[in-house]
Amino acid sequence: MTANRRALKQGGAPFLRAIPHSFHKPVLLTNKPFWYALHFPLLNGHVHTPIDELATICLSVSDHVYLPGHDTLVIDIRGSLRLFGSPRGLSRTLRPKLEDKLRQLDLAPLYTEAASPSASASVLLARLGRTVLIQQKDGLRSELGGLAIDFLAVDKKIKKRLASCGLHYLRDLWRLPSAALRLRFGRELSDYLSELQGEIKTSMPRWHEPLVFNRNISPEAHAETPSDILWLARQLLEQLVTFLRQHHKTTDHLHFNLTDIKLQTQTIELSTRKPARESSVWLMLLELKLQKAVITCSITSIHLICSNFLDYLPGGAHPSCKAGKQAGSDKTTPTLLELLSARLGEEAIFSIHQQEDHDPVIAGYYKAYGHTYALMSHSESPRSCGFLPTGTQPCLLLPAPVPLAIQQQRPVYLSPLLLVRGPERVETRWWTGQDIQRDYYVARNLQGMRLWIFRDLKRSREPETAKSCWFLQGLFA
Amino acid sequence: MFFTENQLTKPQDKLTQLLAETPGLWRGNQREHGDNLQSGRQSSAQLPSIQISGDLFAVPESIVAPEQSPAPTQSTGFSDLDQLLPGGGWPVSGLVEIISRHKAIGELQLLMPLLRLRSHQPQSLLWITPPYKLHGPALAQSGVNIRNSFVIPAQTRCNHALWSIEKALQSTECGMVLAWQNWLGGRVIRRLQMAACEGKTLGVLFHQRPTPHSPATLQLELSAAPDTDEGYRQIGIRLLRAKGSHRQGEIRLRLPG
Repeated sequence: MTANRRALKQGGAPFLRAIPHSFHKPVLLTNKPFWYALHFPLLNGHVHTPIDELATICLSVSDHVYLPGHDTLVIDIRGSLRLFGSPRGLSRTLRPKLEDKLRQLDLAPLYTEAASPSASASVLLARLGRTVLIQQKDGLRSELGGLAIDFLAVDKKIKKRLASCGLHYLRDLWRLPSAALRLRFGRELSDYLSELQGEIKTSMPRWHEPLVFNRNISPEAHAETPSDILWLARQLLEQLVTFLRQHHKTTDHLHFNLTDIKLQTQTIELSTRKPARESSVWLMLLELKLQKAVITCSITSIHLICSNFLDYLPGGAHPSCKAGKQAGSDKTTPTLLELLSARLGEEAIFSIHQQEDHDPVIAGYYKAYGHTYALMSHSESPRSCGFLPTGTQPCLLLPAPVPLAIQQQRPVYLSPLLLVRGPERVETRWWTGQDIQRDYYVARNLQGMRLWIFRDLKRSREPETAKSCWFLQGLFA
Repeated sequence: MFFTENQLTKPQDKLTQLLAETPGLWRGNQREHGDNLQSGRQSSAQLPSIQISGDLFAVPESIVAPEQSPAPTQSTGFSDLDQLLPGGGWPVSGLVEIISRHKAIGELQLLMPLLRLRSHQPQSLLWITPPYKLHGPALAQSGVNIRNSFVIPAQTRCNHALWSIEKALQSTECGMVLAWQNWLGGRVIRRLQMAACEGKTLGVLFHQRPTPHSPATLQLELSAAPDTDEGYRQIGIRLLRAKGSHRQGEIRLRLPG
């Protein structure tokens, strides 16, 4: 009643009423956490687990959603019980939404649920398919006591040791002193038992809704030229920059969807090697992409989608920023390679790689710039393993060996070749069935060109192909 | 057939005639030259010890154009080539045209010491439309850091390649640009030269035909040369033109390996 009087004095709502004592259920109005676990057995082994989509639905009942596994969700519902009345009411609200979502995902609408004052106990019960509601902490021991130790989420070795001691059920463990259990079976087991009884808090990763920037702009006058598109894109990018600043994030990838008057959508993807949140960077890249793009109809709407976010670190504090290099998060212009790949395409710029192989064509190879930077930024994989060829090899290599003409039993390339150095034998790939048996030579022609040629030993042994057994492999530029 | 007097006159005769008419222009004594310097930006007091007499062509180039500080250079790694090139090496920035009618006569070998040095710097190397695929193991064997090298392959359209060359030369992120083009006009080369000056980047253009009146910093013509008696590879280098210098010359260089 105190609250009601105070509200009336302050000119508040006169209909405030004190909660009757009958509603003071000991569990529902407690400040202690109450855990509601959902287990989706059909998600186990699913390649693209849709747990995020299910977790998004759970946000409608509580902000505190945790993800102990890829097939289980745990919700702290202590704050939601006032609204839903009881865990059963909450479950009844959530069930149709979850079942609809599972049907949309082509999965059977089956899941198990359990609620208790212990997160670990709720997860364990839900995973075992026991749909139970334990309201009091005191009820945990009796409810869990009948569970076999095999179901516990502890190491197999500990389970074996417990079994060898004749301990098969949890009630067997409840009877033993916890200090002795810790001494004999280790801290992992004793802590887990305490978690099951709600004595200590279970540590679980909290689930956060994936951040997505998804904005659309549909001008009254259709965009006819690239400059019109850029003007609209600038507005969207300014919104994105504000969004990034609000969330203290930055990004290295976004894409625009351009929908034309025929309702055909063209996607323009932009990416930078280092994260950037300045609109000028993205506008410059978009301008270059638009120079290459073919736009036949006027654009009716532009969609900007960004879902790849990174934590913003000012200055050169970003991990991808090496000392002395341009700061990744604060950059205002795209790098050269980003500019080139925006204009020419990511498949038009390559980095040079090498691997340990005696076949020169396989030993040296190119990799597209886009792929390389993704590889380097995520795994920091080295671009070469330090392999150096044993013999002399040229800097320029033909994509495939070119057969050389023969004149007076000498190979010819523009003029008859003089063998300067060799042979150097390469025999490899015998295990593939397409083995290589070659004698490599350094040759010189009358024009002064120095060439890397080889004699195919397999062809030279056969009378039909013996005359065409010389090939050009590379040039010593 | 009749010839006019001008047609019959040889260029050497014309030059002799011109020198005779204006003796102070090409030949002069120390006093005359000192007067000229005094009228220039730099006073003669800054050059007290220089003894100038005889032919003006014998005067060091720094005196002929004293307002221009010599462009910084970097050793080529070959002492003979350093002596040939003005400034004693490759220019640190600008455009270098290398003309060779045939490929694979040692044009990359000539640049290898420079490539080794530049590839280990933070700036990247950009290879634009090389005639064939670059062989990573061989470059690594030569000491080039291939982790820092990026390639735009030969299939790229010419206009895209030229745009890329210009952007790379303008950029400070690129330490060196190596580009292969069959032939480029003077206007294009001027534009690339300006881009290289803007970005303070070194660009090397490989041609098959020389561009007349090229505005590039350096224009070299390469030719094949017979191997030495010891079996070493040789290359002929002719300095066609160097910006800010009248120097010309030709050498035969022994390449390693």
